[in-house]
Amino acid sequence: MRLTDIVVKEAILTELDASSKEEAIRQMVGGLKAAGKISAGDEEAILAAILKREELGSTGIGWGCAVPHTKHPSVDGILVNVALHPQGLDFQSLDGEDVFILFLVISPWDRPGDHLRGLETITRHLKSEDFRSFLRQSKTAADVWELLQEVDDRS
Amino acid sequence: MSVSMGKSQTETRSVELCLEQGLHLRVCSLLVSIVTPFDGSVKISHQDRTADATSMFELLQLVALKGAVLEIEANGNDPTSVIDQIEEVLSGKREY
Repeated sequence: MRLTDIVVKEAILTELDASSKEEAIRQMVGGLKAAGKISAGDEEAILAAILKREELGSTGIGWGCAVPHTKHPSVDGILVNVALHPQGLDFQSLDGEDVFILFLVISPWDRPGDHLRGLETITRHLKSEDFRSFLRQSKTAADVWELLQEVDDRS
Repeated sequence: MSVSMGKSQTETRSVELCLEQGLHLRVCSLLVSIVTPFDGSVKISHQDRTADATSMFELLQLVALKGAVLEIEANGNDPTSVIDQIEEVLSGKREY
């Protein structure tokens, strides 16, 4: 699976202006709606599902990264939105560190394999210190997209 | 199978994954919390991939679906106890 096949280019946010986990997730879901990938009618239900999942345990997986996610019947394939929070956000992460990089994932309801392969693809790249560093230095959505294309081409 | 090497022991066990959603992020997080206090190392393998079970990033690389057989190898003080706890999670006997 390639990052550029699952990330929604038009929804990328490089300067999240959120003071809480909920606000950040709301902006990212809103980005997918604005990009036409989810409907206004589904937006609140998707947001609520992601926040409910966070209540079960933070998706802040360490090294400044978080992967908030849910499964939802309205999507046909994996949708991912990438966002950067330059100041760092308290996400109650497993390692206690602030989060700077977020990959929000919405997967089809009934395809757990696709969901796991999506998370595998994202975390395979996030494991790389270089990738995280270059991502955090990205100023525009175009910069982020170019980086995703580069790492996809090298995989 | 358990092999004693001085104070440290190595034990390996094959466990079938019985979780409907596979080895998803919340399960990986639970495994990390079980393994981190263990005095030793734990590796979990699926097909040709092996993960250090203290790393979320590595566990998520396993992409194990329901029905997959995972190989667990623990090396350290009382590996049976930590493998028992891992098996309890993977076999769906432990709520989380």
